[in-house]
Amino acid sequence: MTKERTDASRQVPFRAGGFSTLAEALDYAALSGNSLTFHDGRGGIAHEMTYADMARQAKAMAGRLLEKGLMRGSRVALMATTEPEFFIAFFACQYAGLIACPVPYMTRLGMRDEYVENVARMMRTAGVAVALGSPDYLGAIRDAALKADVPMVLAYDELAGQPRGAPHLKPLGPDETAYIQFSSGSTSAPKGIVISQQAICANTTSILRDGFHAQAADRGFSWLPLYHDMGLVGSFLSPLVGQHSMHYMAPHDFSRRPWLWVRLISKHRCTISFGSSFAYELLVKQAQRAKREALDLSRWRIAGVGGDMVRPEVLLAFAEEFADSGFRRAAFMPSYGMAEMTLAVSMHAPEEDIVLDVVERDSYKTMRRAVPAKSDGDEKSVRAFIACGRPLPGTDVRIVDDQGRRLGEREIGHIEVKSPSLMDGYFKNPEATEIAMSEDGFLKTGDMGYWLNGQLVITGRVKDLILYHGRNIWAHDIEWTAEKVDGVRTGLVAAFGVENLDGQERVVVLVEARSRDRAENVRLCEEVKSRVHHAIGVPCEVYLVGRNTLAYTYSGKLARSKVREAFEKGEINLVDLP
Amino acid sequence: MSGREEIVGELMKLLEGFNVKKVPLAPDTDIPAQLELDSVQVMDFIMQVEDTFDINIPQHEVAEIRTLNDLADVVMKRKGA
Repeated sequence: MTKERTDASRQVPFRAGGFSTLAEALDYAALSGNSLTFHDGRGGIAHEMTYADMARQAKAMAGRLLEKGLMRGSRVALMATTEPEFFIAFFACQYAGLIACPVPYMTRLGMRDEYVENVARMMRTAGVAVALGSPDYLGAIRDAALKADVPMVLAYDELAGQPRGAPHLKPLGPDETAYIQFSSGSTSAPKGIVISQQAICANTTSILRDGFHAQAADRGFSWLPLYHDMGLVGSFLSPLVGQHSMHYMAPHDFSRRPWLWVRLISKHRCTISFGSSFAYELLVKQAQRAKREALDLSRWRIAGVGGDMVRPEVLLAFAEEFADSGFRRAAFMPSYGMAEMTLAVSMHAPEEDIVLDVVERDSYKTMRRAVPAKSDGDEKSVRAFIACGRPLPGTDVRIVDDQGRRLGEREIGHIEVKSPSLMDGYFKNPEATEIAMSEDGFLKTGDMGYWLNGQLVITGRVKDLILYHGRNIWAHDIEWTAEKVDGVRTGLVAAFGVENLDGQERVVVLVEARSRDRAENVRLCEEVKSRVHHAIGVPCEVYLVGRNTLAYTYSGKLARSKVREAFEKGEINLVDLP
Repeated sequence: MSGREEIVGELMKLLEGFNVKKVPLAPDTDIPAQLELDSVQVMDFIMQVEDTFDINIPQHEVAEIRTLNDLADVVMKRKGA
């Protein structure tokens, strides 16, 4: 069995973090005897790699990168495919003193052109010196690099065959940067979040010790994309800092065969695995298929939930559906975090049942108070939230009103956070950094929430963020896409998410009509709809509104939340179309 | 089932199951833009194509597919491979 082999090759005791750099953490994990298993799209094993293999290959690749004449601190774009090469390349940067910048890989039907544009913007933002990617996707990466004036592009395997100079490696030190994470936010104006070695070491250690109560025998499973903070930090770097054995599957393979998630957890006796509410919902829908093979989910002690709004009814349905497979509801670990804080801000205590809070819908929407529902109201009058745990030790969280005053229990306000895991700032973007930070050094998350017995309850994510099927979509990106349609004027488009009764969001786009011609207006709406669907990958409802409907603030910036409020109250007149 | 026309015909049949909006289908129908499929439906459709033709379509090729013609090219290439 795997366990015996692991114990036999373990040369060092289990250590839950507390390293001063990522390179130091991998050097330690290399002595643990533990390994990473990469599954193919049908659940079979495609590759296995021990941490020792990974460290050795990363050092070899570091030498090859330095041989290219890269200066210390140069940025290296890495296509974050779920395969050993990305893991190796990420750590090659750590050992070589280079700054890794993970970028997405192409996932959606017909998305090539948009993908190239988006990645080119990321490369330009980070001033990338070299781009590395999987050979299968090299054409697209090359096109992006060309647009971004990146001088060098190499496939992972191509680099492996190149000469490796006298490798005197000086890994990134405790006072240096660890990597640049692109915000899961806007693709039209990406921001590079600079994460220091100190921040990543602090956050991963806290996730392991305070969040997971990590044990030597923990074994994780993840299909999360590695270009997002949840995947990169939660399912790659945290397990590595704790020398945990891991199983991985590519995100696109998960969306093809979601049932493999629970099957592989069962088969490989995994104890920790994260997903979004949307992912758990997919599994509820596919439960019968998943259960065609006998499942044993009893070892799954941490079923993390994050990345989107935690939806109570989904978790309850999942727990019920998989109870006969040994799944326990107390395994759910609703969590809250963001890339600007490296990842985790608060995590629910392990082995404790989830906390459901049912409040009056009206008072939470209009009075900013979470008033407990009096009786079992119908779904129109009540709203259920799930608490996302206490802030991790050393994390200072405050909830404030519009004037910045701290609020008490059950009062809904703006969430602000400060901790050793805070980013250094947005890469070469002091303006954006200044906007994101309070004067006394707290990150203004833009999220809303309230306190419940010391636990954080999130009532809404950033106002400009639309949560669609587990994806974060920036309203600005939708507006920007719509503005490219002939006849749509810049600034006269508003996009926002409208929450349905089940807590899901649908995307609404309002466009100010310029023409009185019916046929022209119909064409305009159809074209906006199809452009947005194609470029962003979400269906949306498009409505025409009369001139001067869309409200502007004094700065000329669209007051999206005001428009949304008016739309939800039915105060906006929509132009009739046949 | 190897001729191009037959393949396009078979693909149309499969796609019809996802064509809620009843968009008239043609070889140059832009699948993501005109059919408004969500990501789960797209994956379902691709899996049905894989099962029907007994092929594997790698993800990097999926991103390059826009029209039924593009998809037919991929199917023919994979069948021949």
